[in-house]
Amino acid sequence: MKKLQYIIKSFWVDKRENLRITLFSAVIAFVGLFFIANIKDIKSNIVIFNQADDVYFFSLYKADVKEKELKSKMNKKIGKVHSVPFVSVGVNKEYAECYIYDDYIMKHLNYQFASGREIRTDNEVIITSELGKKYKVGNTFLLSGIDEKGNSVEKEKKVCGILENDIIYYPHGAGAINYDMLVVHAGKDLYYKNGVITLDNSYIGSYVMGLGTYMIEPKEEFRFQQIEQQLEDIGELYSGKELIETNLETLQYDTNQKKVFVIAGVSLGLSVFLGSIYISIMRRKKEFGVMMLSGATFISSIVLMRMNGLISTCIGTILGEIGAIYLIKNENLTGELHISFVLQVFFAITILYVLCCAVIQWIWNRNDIIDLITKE
Amino acid sequence: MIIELKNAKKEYIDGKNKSITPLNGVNLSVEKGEYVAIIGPSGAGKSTLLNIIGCIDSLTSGEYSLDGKNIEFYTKNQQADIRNQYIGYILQNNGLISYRNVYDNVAIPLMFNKKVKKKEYKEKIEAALLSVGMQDYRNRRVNELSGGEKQRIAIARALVNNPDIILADEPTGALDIKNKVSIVELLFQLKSKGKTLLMVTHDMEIANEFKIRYSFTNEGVLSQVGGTIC
Repeated sequence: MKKLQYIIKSFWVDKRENLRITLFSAVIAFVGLFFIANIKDIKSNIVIFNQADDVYFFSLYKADVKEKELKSKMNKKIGKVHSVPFVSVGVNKEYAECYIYDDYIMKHLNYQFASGREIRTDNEVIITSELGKKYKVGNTFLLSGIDEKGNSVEKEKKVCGILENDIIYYPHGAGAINYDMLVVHAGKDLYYKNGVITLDNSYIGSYVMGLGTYMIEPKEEFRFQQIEQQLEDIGELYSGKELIETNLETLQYDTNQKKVFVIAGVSLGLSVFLGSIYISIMRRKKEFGVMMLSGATFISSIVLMRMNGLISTCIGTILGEIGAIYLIKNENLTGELHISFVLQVFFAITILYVLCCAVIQWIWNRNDIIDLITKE
Repeated sequence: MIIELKNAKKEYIDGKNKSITPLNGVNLSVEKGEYVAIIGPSGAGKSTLLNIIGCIDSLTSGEYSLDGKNIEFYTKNQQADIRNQYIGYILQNNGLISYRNVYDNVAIPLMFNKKVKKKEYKEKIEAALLSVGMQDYRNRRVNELSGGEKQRIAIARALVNNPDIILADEPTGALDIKNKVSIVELLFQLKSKGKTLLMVTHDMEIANEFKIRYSFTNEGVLSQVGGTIC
């Protein structure tokens, strides 16, 4: 209890530093979580499967909720480069991104197989090399998600191919919402209108450009000119090739932008964060010396003196994470949240704080105890 | 013997790569309850000797025994326990934390004393403050106190764990005459409690109050100049 009182009083002693530590650990947590949710998740642990079996996977959203949300945003977002979260699935209870297999896109983007082959049946899947560390060609796993009615769905899938890549840029997210929309098909070309894509007689949902995902009736076919005429009052049409290239550029541009944002945010956050720890430690040098002189060990002195900063770090990290979660969920930004991301960021920042304290103390406060005490 | 140093030598290299020997074959024996003054010119090794005795520095060679046990065989954690329970340190600049109040400053050694129970905590701080006549100052900030008052608080902090040995490194060095006298009187009152006191001082007037006096030469040699020769 006596040590607890001392720690609580230390909050006041270090009030300015604690405020900065809280604020900038929040910045690091915000940017860090945003980074992980936006970059890490769309680059690894990917399953590509054939959605022709009418299963709509939404591991984080119920389909009807998502549909309502997308509908409300559609009109506002048309014409703007704005993505909504890629959906995710469970792979043997683990988290993974998922994409719909699209032969046209796979070939166009020249994704190579490290082993195995393309998808031929509905119960087959392709995985990226990251997942390939756990599963081999021929292995089966349970793909789980939530269907369009909000029920849990599980399907057994067999790995038929492993891509060489662990990072892929894939213009489509998986998932589909059943609107009565047009079928757009002209020979080998794909045509696109406000999120609608069709490939031959299959259907594909697209989350690109912040638009809703549409199911395309496989039987209906239209000529390009007819479609263009029908849709001219709504917007422009793109060929499949144009669509892929545009979206690929957008994805790469977004990724680069995010990297710059992350590097700038984390650098700024870290410099102030570390600076505040340094100032606090150097300002309380004498106190550290007094503790050592009074019978504290090096470790117990650090624990007692830095605990208030650690608590401030935890508070700041939680606030930053809440901010990032809010932004990702409510501002319609690309990114998927998973509890492991939140924990990773939390532990990374708290461990960073502990390490910094230990290193700064070790380098600058290892001197003669009397020397420490005589320094104000 | 509560404190015994045999042929104690301390050597280090200073910033100019020059070898310094503040303690050069020092022999010192102090019985429990004795009051010892250590005098000598600046830089002669008085404070180094106190730091060795206080377990915050170590010898290059020689032997230091505390209560019959060689300090060399204690781990760093055990030495921290010795500092906590057997030694009270009083410094010239008082070593108080200016942004904390009197109570918190006096409480610091208690936080690391595993033998003190929670219920005794407040009682011990009050007793230490009472012994230096500062019981009404417990909630005052240290930076609001005068030099003499600060030194009294420093003594209270040194006494709070009831240590056997008090090490005072020029405790009156920064005080005016009035405060100097009152601090020395306060330290001499501790004799009745059976404490052992080693005081480093420049002030011959204060040193003459001690029956046992040791003097340092610039060569790091310590010799007894008053009292019974050990």
